[in-house]
Amino acid sequence: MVRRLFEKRLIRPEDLRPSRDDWEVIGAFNPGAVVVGDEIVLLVRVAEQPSERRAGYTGLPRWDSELGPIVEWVKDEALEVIDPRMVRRREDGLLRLTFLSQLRVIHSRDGRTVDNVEGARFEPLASWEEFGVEDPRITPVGDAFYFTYVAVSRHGAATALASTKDFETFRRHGIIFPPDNKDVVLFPEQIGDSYVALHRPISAAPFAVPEIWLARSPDLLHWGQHEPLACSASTWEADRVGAGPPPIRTPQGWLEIYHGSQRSTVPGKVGAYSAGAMLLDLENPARVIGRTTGALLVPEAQYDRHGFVPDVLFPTGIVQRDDMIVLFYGAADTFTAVVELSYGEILASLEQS
Amino acid sequence: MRALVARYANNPILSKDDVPFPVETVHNAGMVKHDGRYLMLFRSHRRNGRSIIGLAESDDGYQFCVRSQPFLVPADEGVFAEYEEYGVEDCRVSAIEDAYLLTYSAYSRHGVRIGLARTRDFESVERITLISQADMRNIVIFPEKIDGRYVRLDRPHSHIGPWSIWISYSPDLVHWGDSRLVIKPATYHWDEEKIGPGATPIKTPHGWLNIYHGVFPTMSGGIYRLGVALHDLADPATVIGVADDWILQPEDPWEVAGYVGNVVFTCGAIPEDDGTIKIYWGGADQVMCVGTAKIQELVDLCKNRPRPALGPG
Repeated sequence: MVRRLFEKRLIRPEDLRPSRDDWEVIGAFNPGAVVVGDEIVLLVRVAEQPSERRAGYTGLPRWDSELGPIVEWVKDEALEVIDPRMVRRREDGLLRLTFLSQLRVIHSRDGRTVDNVEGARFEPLASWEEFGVEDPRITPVGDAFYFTYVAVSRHGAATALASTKDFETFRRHGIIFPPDNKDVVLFPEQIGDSYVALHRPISAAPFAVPEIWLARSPDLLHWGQHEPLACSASTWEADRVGAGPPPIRTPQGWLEIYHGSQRSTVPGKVGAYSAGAMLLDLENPARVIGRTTGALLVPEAQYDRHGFVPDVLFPTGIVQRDDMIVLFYGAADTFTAVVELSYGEILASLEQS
Repeated sequence: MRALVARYANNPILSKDDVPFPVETVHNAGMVKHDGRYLMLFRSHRRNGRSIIGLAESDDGYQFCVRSQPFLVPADEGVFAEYEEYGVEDCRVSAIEDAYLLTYSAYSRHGVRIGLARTRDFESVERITLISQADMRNIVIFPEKIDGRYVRLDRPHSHIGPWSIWISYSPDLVHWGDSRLVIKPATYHWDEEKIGPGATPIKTPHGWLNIYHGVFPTMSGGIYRLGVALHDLADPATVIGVADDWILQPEDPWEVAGYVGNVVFTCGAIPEDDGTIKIYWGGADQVMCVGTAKIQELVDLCKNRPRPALGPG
């Protein structure tokens, strides 16, 4: 574990206006982050659900390609509750989310305060985004900012790519990792002749453990040369691991802060999400040269521990400032929080491998 | 009524007794014609439950002779060894650009993913790369480039929706993207549990003919059947029609019972000059069978009796 040199909850759901008058914002979390000029731009996942409650019914929000955000009211007995985030339709076994996410641009001058929450919105558009767009990770490439995001639909959870030059208008580049695949981050520069990404396929094979994979691409659109990078190695990350924010270059190697979750022992409850770190070889990032054995950060702030999904610390944005690492994360699937860490302390917590 | 697929009278055409090395099954074979001969790249379970690929040859497409040695066994070194540790399965063949591309499932502790190999003569085989992450099975590569890119049908695994047929594109066979869903299982339909690409797509004047498999869940396990879909020639992501009816279901005793019962599963079909097509399928994951159909009748089934490709909302 490393010291939290500065920590703060930056955004609460109630700080944001819902998309519809009869909806409420229940989460503003898992922010992408990038330095633009002299400020930091956050791209925050904003989750909403209908504020109305109907006895005996659950309102399932969805983005309709013609109507926009709509709600489908389904009888409770037709649904099986999996956890706070998900229900399963008994009729056909299909999963639905209890909320709908979009991305919103939020400006911060220093990463410690929020200046403007009324930035542009990146709303679901394509049919493969009907249950929401989630968990953006931003990487500058050339003169544009590219971000990966999870596109959730009845067809699964895929990862898509979009880009922007100004965080006002956005360009979609389509699905780059078919379902189920989340937690895709792009390296900030080409290595050899390739763009490189970390991703997290979900294997249905009962013998497979959750793993972070690495892939390469000539053009950011076509991906191959997939190989596993790291699997869960400790109890704090036993249920699943996935990349956090995009890797950053340090003299010692690529620093990747990643998340891991504990196995839940209580049905209907999600295991705690914490953060770890690994160091990847600068020339061959498929080589892990250092890794924390224990967690780097665990959910311990009051806002990490209490929210829509308790005990979640999910890092998605990173900014380097001198020898400090400024880490933006989703807390309890509800809030956007920031924590500042010493790079030296992170380095000291890594064990060589 | 006459069946769309006429079973060969002497099915099964290949079983473990025809194989000169110890195996327990012969099934799910990729098929191709090479130098006028029919080649069958079949999957066999060894007695440890893991699979290898064997090769059988035929002059008429019905009577096959198995080569004395397996054609493809798990690699014993390098990156392929890591991913083929649990076996190689369900090979498909695509004749493209004066060579043959082989796609096969590679099983390992990391899950299942697809290996890509190339051969020109079916004597030596060169592994190129693994072209998917885990989990992915059932990749078929179209036998020609379309708009300058290689095209494949694939079948990613999702925890959210039923497993479906997707399409992906590549500039170089190594890197793949632009992935899109093209056909979904239909609710309370013979293919409602999951579907996957089967035979390498067949070019017809009316479109690409896609013979796929679908699974219906029952109290006594899934039933694997074969269906057909037609894709636009110039833009195969556009589905002209998915036939509502299946074209083949387990009926013969060696399809109903075997290593895995109630399974007909195809990895290859061979079109003939007379407008017929030989469809090859594994029966109950244990033996190989063949039947013939008229290509025009399969095309008509897609066009005249379609069901929605992406199902109702």
